[in-house]
Order: sequence, then structure tokens, then C-alpha cells
Amino acid sequence: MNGRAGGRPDRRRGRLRVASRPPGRSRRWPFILICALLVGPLVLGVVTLQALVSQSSFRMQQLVRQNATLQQSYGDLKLEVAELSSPSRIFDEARKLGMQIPLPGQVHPLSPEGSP
Amino acid sequence: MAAARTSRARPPTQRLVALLAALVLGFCGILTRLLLLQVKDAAAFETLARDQRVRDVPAPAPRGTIFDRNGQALAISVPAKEVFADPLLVKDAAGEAQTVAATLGLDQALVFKALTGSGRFVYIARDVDVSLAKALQAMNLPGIGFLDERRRSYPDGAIAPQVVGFAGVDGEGLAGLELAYQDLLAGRAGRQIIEEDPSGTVIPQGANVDQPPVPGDNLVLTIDRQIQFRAQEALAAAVRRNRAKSGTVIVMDPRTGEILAMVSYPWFDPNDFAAADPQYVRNRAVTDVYEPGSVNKVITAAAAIQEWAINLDERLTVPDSYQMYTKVFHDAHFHPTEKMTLGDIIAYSSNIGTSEVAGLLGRARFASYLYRFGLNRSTGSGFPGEAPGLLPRPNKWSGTSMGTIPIGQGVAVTPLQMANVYATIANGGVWTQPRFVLGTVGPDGKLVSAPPPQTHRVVSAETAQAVSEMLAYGVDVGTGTEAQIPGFWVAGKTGTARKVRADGTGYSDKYIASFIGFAPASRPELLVAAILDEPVTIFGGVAAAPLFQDVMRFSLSRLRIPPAPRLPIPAHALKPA
Repeated sequence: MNGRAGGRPDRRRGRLRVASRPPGRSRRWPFILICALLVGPLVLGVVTLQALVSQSSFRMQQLVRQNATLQQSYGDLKLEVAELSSPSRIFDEARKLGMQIPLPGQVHPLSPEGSP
Repeated sequence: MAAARTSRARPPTQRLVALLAALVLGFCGILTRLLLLQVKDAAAFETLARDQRVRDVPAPAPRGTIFDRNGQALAISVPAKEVFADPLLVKDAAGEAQTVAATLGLDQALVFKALTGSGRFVYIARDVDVSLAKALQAMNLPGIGFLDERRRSYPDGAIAPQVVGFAGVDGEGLAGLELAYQDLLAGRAGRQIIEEDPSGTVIPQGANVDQPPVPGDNLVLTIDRQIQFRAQEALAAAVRRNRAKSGTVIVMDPRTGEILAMVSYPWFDPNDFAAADPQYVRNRAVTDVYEPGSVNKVITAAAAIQEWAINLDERLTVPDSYQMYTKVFHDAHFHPTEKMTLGDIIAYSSNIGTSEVAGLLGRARFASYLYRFGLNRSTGSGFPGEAPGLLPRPNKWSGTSMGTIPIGQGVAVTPLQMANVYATIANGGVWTQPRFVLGTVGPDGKLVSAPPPQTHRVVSAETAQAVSEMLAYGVDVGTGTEAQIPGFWVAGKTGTARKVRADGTGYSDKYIASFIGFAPASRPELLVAAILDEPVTIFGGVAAAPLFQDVMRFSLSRLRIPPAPRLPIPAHALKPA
């Protein structure tokens, strides 16, 4: 074995010492902070927007259902009004109350020029 | 030992190659499958996935409402449900059939048959009341589904059924004005595309599209619901009283041609049109023809006056019977030979006198007035299936035609055509196109009036006045006394026409009795045509005139029409009142 090589320290190698922290590492915090400040609200905004959209969508569904129900009620009421005002129903009700269409001699139209 | 070290150092090439081959094959398999999924079958799988999430729900358009002239609904559309089944998803067909049948009031056997049928879609019921459908929906029966639709409802039941007509379960107008105004009433259907998750909740921001339906326009008719009801009540009573086969009543405003009421008895309930006899569905006042009989004499009289064929005070010698070629004509009642003016002939409805007047007029001039009064052509009312009537060409008339046609035999008209002849006289000699529609109401709620009716002058106002005087005289002392209304002067004419045999071989011994008239006679505002088919008492003055009187009296009162001065009696009347 070569004793020179094994006994002498290699001059090309510097003395070992404790490495100091790289100067750039301390500058990461502002970057992270800025990122957090930018991305955080953005994410929060997107999530909020999604929530609002979902909420609006559910509200819209609810309103559509409500609209359908109200239209149904409106249709039913319209039909009910038409049925209740039907001449045949009114005629039957009037007859039950003892009313009748006047006979020819029971009505006397008055005319200034004279009438038959 | 060295050999062992060597074997560890050198990898087993064959195995590696085999492994590599297996991996390559495996990757090739995956790649192939990927290509199949993502390229070849991509569209199919996309559709499959889309169908699981996305529903395309049709939104039927509400059909327009049909109103009477006072805004009362005659036909409206209300929300309803279609109940359908997917037999593949039905688990307990017998149990579900029992539940569905009991809830909807259906035949259990038919429901069971539907639930056990083939295919993925079968209707169980349509036009189902929403509350019933909701009750069924709450039971969550597997394989039973529901779709929105609109049901056509006629709240008055059988009020003007032949005029309004009806619409089928698909919302298509099938008869009457529902058919004639289908395009206007139908609207345009919409659709709703909904993307849902597996639990049925709509995915916000999904492929949701809402295309709302466009409702149909509303139709405002000239019909007055109250007058229509009264006309129907009176007609039904008259048919029963006279033991007639059927009957028709028309009420119209002669000044505008507006039909206020029109019905033929027997009628049908449009809410149950499937059960109706097809012959009662037709609006026979417009689609069917009949030989009018003596009511046609008014055309002969108007033509003779207009053409100066006879002076109003000229007296004709009128025997009880008269032979024309091979046929002997008689008056309805025996009378000695009399001297009668035209007014007397009309008032007493003399067949012989009318034939004599037509003879003075001549075939060509008489025929031209039949056409001018609107015979042998549609009135242009716009009602589907309107008949033009039947009038032989004058050059084809037989030797006796000048004896029959002037008295309303050998010519066929619709009741509406004949009513319009009298409306022409009542309107001062101006023919006016009859109409059923006042206008339409669009989405903005504004009434768009129908185009004004076509008009043309047929005879002069003086001629119309002279004929009106004869008609009023006829009601006062002639054949139409049963049509008198206390407080009002009425003008009108009776008609008693023999019916043609069904096989067309001459006349039967059955009759059509009619009365057509207007009031007040000197300022006509209303016209009523009353026609009874095969009444026991055959004469128009006995069978139909009381029906006319009943309907006219109510209509005058309903429209608050005041009495008007009396018309002077015609010249040289036989029996001055």
C-alpha cells in the first residue's frame, strides 16, 4: 500500500467545518406567505362560490317545485270557479230554493210606444 | 461456490424475457381495452353514462282556454299526470296491480296485464288527477313512474258541446272549434334537462337546461253561456214534449252575424267524448242539411218585391190546390179560393200563392235570389265540416221545381244557412257572414279582435222592411201566433217540411217543423231558429214556435233588449189586427 497517500492529508480538500444555513432559505417565508395570501382567499372564494351556486341551485329547485304546486292549485281553483259558476249548477241551486223562470204572462215589459 | 456466485450475478435472461413479454402483452391488452372503451365504444358508453345522470323531461304546453263572450271558461286545461310502468322493475305485480287499481279506480286485471307485459314502458292511466297521482307516488311502488301532462276539462259539461268540440288525451283538438283552432290553442311544448346524482338530487352546474313551454292563445267565442244553457234546456224540453227525434236551436245577432247559442239535441258530454254516439258529436246545425219547407218562402217574397214582380197591394187569386204538370199542390189547410196579397200569402203560408208569385218572378230571377241569399254555398263561418247545402242547377230543374223550391221542398240547406237568410232580412237586406269567434287573447292578455265578417247586400232596405212587416203580420195573426212574446213585436215564419226518404225515393210521411224569427220586429237585435225533427205535432207553428218563444223571451231579457215600436201591417191584409 502507498503510505504517502495514506498518511498525508489531501491538500486539495479543505478543512471540514459546520456548514451554515444557505442564505436563500430564510427568504422562503415571504414566498409562502404571499402564496398563502393569494391562494388561500382564491380557494376560499371558489369554495364559497360553489357553495353559493349549490345553494342557489337548491333554492331554484325548491322554487320550481313551489311554482308547479302553485300552478296546480291555480288550475284547480280555476276549474272549481268555472264549475261553481256553471249555469246548470246555478239553475239547480235556484230550483232547490224554489225559484223558477217567469212564465210569459208574469213579466210585463214597458214600452213608451205601446206593446202587444 | 464460484458457480453459485456466477448464477446470482447473471440474471436469468429467459425469465426476464418471459416477464417482459408478459408485461408487454398485459399492456397491449390494457391498451386495446382502453382503445375500445375510449375510442371505439366511447360514444355508446358516454350515452349510457349520460342516461344514468341526465333526464330529459318534456314540459307540455298549456292549451289555451276557450271563453264565452263574457269571459266565462268553456274549456280549460289543468295539470294532470300520466302513470306508466316499467314491467322489468316491477317486483310484486299482483300486489302493485291491486294498489294501483284501487287508488286510480281502474280494472285490476288490466293493470296486472300492463305490469306483466313486455317492453320497458307501458301506460297505466292518463289524465290522472294530480292528487291521486301524488297519493300513488307516495307509496314508492317499484316500476311505477309519473309524467306531467295537461288535461282538457269542460267545466260546464255539455254546454255548446258540438260548437266547442273536444280535445283528446294528447291535447289535439278532435272536433268543433277545438279542431278548427288547433294551431292557435296548442302552444309549443317545452323541455327540462336535469342532471341528477344517484339519489335523485339535481347536480348544480350540471347539464341542466330549462326550456319553458309556450302556452297556447286563448279563444273568445261569440257564444253566451247563459243563453246557450237556456236554449239547451228549452230544446230538450221541446223535443220531449213533442216526442221529436231531435232538434236544433240557433240564436244569433243578425246585425253582426255573431252566434250566441247553437245546439242540436241529443248532444254529448265532452268530458266523456269517448262514450258519445258519433252522430251526436257533429254540429248538425252546420254540417247537416234538411229541406226547409215554408221558411224558404221568405226568399220568394223578397225576390218578388225586389224585382217588382208584384205590387204589395196586388191581390192574387189563390185556390186551395193547383196542378203543375203531373203534380197537384195543396195548401196546408183547406180554404175556398181567396184574393190574397203577398203579405197574406206569407202570413198564412200559402203554398199555392207562393208558387204563383214565383211564377210571376220567373225561374232565372228566382234562382238568382236563392244564390244571393247564400244557398248552395258554405256561409264561411269557419266551422269544420260545414255543408254547402243542395240546390239543383236551374237548367236541371224539373217542370214542378217552380212549385216545390219556392215553398222549400226540393232544396236542402243547413239550419245556419236558413237562419242567415232571416238575418239578412233583419239586417236591412245585408247578408253577413256568421261567426263563432270574437277574438283571441295572446300572452300579453290583450284581445285581438277577429277580422270583421264579410257582408254583401242582397235586397234593398225597403224590400227587407216590407218582408219584415209580412213576417210580423204572420206572427200577429197568421201561422206564427204561438211565437208571440208579451211586450214585444216579433217577426217570423213557420215551416213544415216533409222529409225525404232515406233511400231518396220521394217523400216520407215524416216532417220537420221549424220557426225562424227575429225581435224586436222593427229594430231586430236577436234572431232565433228553432227546428224539430219528426215531432208528433207536425206543424211548425204548433211544435217549433213555442220553442222559439221560450228561447227568444229569455234571450231578450238576458241581453236587456227593450221593446220597440210596432211595424205597420202589410197593405190590404186579409185580417187587419
